[in-house]
Amino acid sequence: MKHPKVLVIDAGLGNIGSVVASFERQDCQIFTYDSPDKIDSLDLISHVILPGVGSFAKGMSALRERGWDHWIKNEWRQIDRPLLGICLGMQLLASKGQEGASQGCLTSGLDQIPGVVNRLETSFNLPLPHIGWNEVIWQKENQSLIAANLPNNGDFYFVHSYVFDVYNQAHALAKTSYGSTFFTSVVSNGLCFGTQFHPEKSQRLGKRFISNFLNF
Amino acid sequence: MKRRLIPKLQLILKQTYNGKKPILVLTKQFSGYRPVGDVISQAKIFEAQLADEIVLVDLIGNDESWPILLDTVQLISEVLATPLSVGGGLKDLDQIQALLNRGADKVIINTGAIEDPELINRASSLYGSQCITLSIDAIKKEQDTWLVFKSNGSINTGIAVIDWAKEVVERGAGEILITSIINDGGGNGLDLELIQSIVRAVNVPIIASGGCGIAKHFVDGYKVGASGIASGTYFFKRDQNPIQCRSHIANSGIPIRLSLFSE
Repeated sequence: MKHPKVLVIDAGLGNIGSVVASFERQDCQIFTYDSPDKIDSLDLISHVILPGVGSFAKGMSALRERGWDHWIKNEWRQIDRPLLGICLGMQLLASKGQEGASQGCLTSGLDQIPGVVNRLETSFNLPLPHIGWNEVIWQKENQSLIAANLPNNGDFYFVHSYVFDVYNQAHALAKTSYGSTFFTSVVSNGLCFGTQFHPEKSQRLGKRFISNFLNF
Repeated sequence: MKRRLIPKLQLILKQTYNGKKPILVLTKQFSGYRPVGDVISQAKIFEAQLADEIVLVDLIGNDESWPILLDTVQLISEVLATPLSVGGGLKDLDQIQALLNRGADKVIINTGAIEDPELINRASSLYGSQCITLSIDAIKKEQDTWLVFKSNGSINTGIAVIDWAKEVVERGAGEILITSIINDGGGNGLDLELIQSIVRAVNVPIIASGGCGIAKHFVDGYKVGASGIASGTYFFKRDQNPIQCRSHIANSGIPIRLSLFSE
């Protein structure tokens, strides 16, 4: 795609500065809006980024408050153009999530990729959160151009305690291991993508990943 | 999990012909500030040398240095794609929000949390534990006992380090940065007993700091359980090469990112 026009959703979920900066380094135009009311026309946008850090429940209520949940589910997904959720943004694409919800009941997510967000189960007394660089292993059976020119065990930067358990393994493009646990590090359902890692903080490989996404 | 190698950038303010500017300094036992150059260009060098994260600390940490710290964070996050943790005199949620907005990935709280421990609860519930790093500066009192010092190492709080480490994690800190004040800038190795006792006491990632002089010191720190090791002095020594340091660490059987696999 030539000169993508990228909308970075500002839902007040932490740092969007470095996400914006990483897209500014690519050949594309960036918009950041805190509310979908500010979008004049969908024709002006080719790609959407949903960044975020924090808890699932707070993330969903922030999206709802600003009208983004309705916009993503109805307007954006209807026209079927690419979307990338990063970290919490990826988790919010799930059907539901555990974090920050009251005991026994789960919070509903954007429901774009079937699955549930659970606490990462660790083994060998490994510390939580899972912070640092870890290998992203692309799943042979779910090939995607999002992985073009990326090595199979390349290191990306992670900071999280919860993981996206997909219901359908066909939606897990890549996995990462923490101790003996394998969790989904890249999800996709059609043109809706999500990464548990932070491509904007993953140096050269992250840059290549972002440019692959912009090629959709 | 790959262990992290983390260069530490420490700032003070310097009067120049057009106002105050941040300059990078090295410290020895938290004093004796030695200027070593420009923050932004050094941050770029660290990224090129495959830094796993960068720690940025404002050693002044007052109202005068605050806007300069914010500008510095913004400048770094605009040019780098490396995770950035920022601290220095943080006392309230507004400051944390401002740093996250400018591009910090994690904030580092020290004295502010000792004076108001509830700050940790509030910050972690609002932004998530994963972006709250608690920094603890320690001096050994006797065998197996270290005390927490606040205000840039100048005031003894009398609190035992291990008790404080457990408390901050209970309150929601997602990571601990532990620095040995005596070992700082000495280049004679980390305080391994201190690191080991904290690693055993809590189950969040521990970043150890203070004392790395040669590559072997990093290996020693990872072997006692540090998830990351931060160093200022080491990365500015002309005779040390961070890329070779990584190979040395990898050759000792410690998992670490190598340039070969990052291309």
